[in-house]
Amino acid sequence: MPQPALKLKDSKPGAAGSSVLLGTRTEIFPSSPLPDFANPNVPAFMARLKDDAASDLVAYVCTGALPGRFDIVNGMRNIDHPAVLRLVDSGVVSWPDGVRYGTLVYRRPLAPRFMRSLDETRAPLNEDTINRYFVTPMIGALTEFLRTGIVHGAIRTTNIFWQAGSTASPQLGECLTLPPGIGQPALFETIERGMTMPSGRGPGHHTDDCYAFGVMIALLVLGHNPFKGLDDHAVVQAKMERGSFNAIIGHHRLSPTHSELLRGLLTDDPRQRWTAADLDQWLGGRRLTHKSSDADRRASRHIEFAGHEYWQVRSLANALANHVPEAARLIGNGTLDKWLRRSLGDEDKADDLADAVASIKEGGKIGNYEDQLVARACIALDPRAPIRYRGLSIMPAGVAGLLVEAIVTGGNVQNLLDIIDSQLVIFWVDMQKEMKTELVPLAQQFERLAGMVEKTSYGNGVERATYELNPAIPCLSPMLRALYVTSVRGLLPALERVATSSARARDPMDRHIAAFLVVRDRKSELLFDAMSSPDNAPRRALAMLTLYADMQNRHGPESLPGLAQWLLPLIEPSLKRYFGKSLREGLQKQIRDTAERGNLGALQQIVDNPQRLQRDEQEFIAARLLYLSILKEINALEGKMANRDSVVDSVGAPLAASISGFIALAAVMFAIGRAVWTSF
Amino acid sequence: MAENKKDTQTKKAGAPGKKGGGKAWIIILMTVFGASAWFILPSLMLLVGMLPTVVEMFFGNDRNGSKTTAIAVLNAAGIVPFVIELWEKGQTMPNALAILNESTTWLVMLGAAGVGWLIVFAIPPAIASLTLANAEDRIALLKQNLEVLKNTWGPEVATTKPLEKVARGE
Repeated sequence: MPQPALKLKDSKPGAAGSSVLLGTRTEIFPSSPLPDFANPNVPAFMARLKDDAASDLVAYVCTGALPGRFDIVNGMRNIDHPAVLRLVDSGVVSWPDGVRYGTLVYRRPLAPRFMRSLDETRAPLNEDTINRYFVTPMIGALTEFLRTGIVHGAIRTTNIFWQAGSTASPQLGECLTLPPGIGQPALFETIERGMTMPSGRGPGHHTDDCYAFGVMIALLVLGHNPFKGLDDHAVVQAKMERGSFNAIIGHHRLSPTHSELLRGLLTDDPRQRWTAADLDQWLGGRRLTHKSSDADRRASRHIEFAGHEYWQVRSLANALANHVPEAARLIGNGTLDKWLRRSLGDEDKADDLADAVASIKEGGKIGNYEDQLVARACIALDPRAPIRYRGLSIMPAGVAGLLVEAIVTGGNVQNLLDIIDSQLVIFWVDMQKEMKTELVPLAQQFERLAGMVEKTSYGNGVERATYELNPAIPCLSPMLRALYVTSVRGLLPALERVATSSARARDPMDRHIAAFLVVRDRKSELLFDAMSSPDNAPRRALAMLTLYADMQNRHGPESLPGLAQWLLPLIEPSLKRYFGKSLREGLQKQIRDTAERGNLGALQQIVDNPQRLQRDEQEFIAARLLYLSILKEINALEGKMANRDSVVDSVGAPLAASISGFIALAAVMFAIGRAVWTSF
Repeated sequence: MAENKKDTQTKKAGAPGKKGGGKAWIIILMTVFGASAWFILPSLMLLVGMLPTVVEMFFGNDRNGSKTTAIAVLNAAGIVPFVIELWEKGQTMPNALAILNESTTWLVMLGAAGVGWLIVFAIPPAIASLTLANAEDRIALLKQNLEVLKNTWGPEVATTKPLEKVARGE
């Protein structure tokens, strides 16, 4: 169930009719929606530049749960082509509902949306119109995308703005407000991406855009959707069995130009598929060779599985993934191996299958054995296909997007963690026959991620993997989701706002914030070790204070009274480390006063002063020794008082003897003196 | 004869006893009397005049000899004028007896011993009372100091709890 963005009840909503400001340049009007330009789950609103009242802009506000593709905004700004919507501004806006959203502002399209539904039937456009208004400008757009390294991912007939009779070229709709693959029907995706869950498709490649362009041209030529009424699974199945070109075009007669163009674009072999560079050459008149048929290799005998007959390995792999127990049996009893070698005549594939089985046995005891076995077998049978595991169907590059979706919607991340942990991605990379060197960084990244997700301490786990794989997403902490924190600099001001709101949790720290800081600020994981232990609350609180004090010092702001007051009840117990009562009370007063000023560094110096701690400890030890010696003295005196006779004997009697001695001496001296005197 | 006396004294000196102090006095007195044979008449005066001391030595409950000492020194001081008088008049038996026959002689000798006894009777209890009163005052002051320590450091200052536990508030 998707979770709505959290709201901060203390935010002040704008008055009806007023605008909200994006940065310093752009005004957006929340009361003026533009439904014609909206995307699925992404509303559009009127906008204009502050210093240009005549500017006609459209703002897309990402109010949905999934974050947009803000990591490629800079690349998109560099594209200035008539066939591509011009990106004017981007950033985070405070919406009247009190939530902050990522927002993208474009020049308003010159024409309305060309089609609202794929199932619309229109008169086929003639070749000249298609070539002039679609082929040539779109090739230019694709060239721009290739130049900037951007994959559009949303090229489809319902994302084009054009009107028949217009002299302007069509404009491709925006592609940044949703993660790649979301909202793109399987019709416009390659077979591999069509098999993949929308949120697990990943950014894709330039050749995927070329394929989508080819499908778009095909639909314009046909005037209708050849797969109308079929679901995505049936569309993919048809493409697998007959090849994309044959499945889409069917028996329709194409002009030689379009036939060549569409065969080049719709080939299912990505190595053979035309790129923008090939299209440019083709426009220039150069003729390029292409494969005649993309249909999957057919076996001489079928194999029966789950009540169906299968002649091709791709469609069989698809079926195996959907019937795991039966598939495990088929693999285990050697039936599949025999079919591959004898009926399909593909020894390489049979060897790959054997490698897949061996790889899972090498790993020793493994959880979800059958699922792992079938997942690996499917990769071996169809390496270009997505990883299919326990209901998930994802491209390795799509793990990033799927993690985010699972977190924001409260979905189950365990299967994704299994994929990372059990090195299925690395196995998938190993099985790729082409572009393997390009995939090495991906494999290395997932090797590192496997180590991270195993650890449960703060700064690791699924949260760490999410931020490592998604460099541009905001912090997904439930406390901060409404504030769209994308940078480390923005974290403390956001926490300051949360401190005085109902979204405030017990601690100003959670696993998401920790992972966000580890990844974006390159903080050491050791700093967060203390935060993983709920038992040692004072140590945890001091670690938080140290971290935030350092961040305040580096990034500001100067005063964070809300955050300081939030931390106060957490750090006060650490004053118990001081033994001196009056010292403790004095420090308590000091930290309360300092918290009001919001200086976290000063707070830290008061609470965590090693010299003061050491001095206090030494004085306490001395006080204890003094206490003991006083007790001893009291005991001795009380013992003495209890035995009066011994005092008399030990003190009184000797003193009496001394007094007597003095008197006796005096008397004797007197006697002797008197005797001497009288003798004179 | 002197050697025999010395042997007896050695044995007696080596032997531990309840009235070790008293026996030592006997030995000293006997040694003095025995060694000073040529002071026979003064010795006779001493012997007679020190009777109160001898009584105290044998019948008193002096644990450490202080009481005996107190009486002995005053007793001896009381005898000294008469020993001097005997020396002045000449050390003859008739002179000695004449001095001993005088009642003032006995008054002084026994009176001095009596003063010693008074001192022994009065001073130790008084001193004990004073000492105990001082001890009470001292105890009260020390207890105040304990309270001050507790107020400054908390009740844990009176315990032997490990510092880590005190710091954690356990």
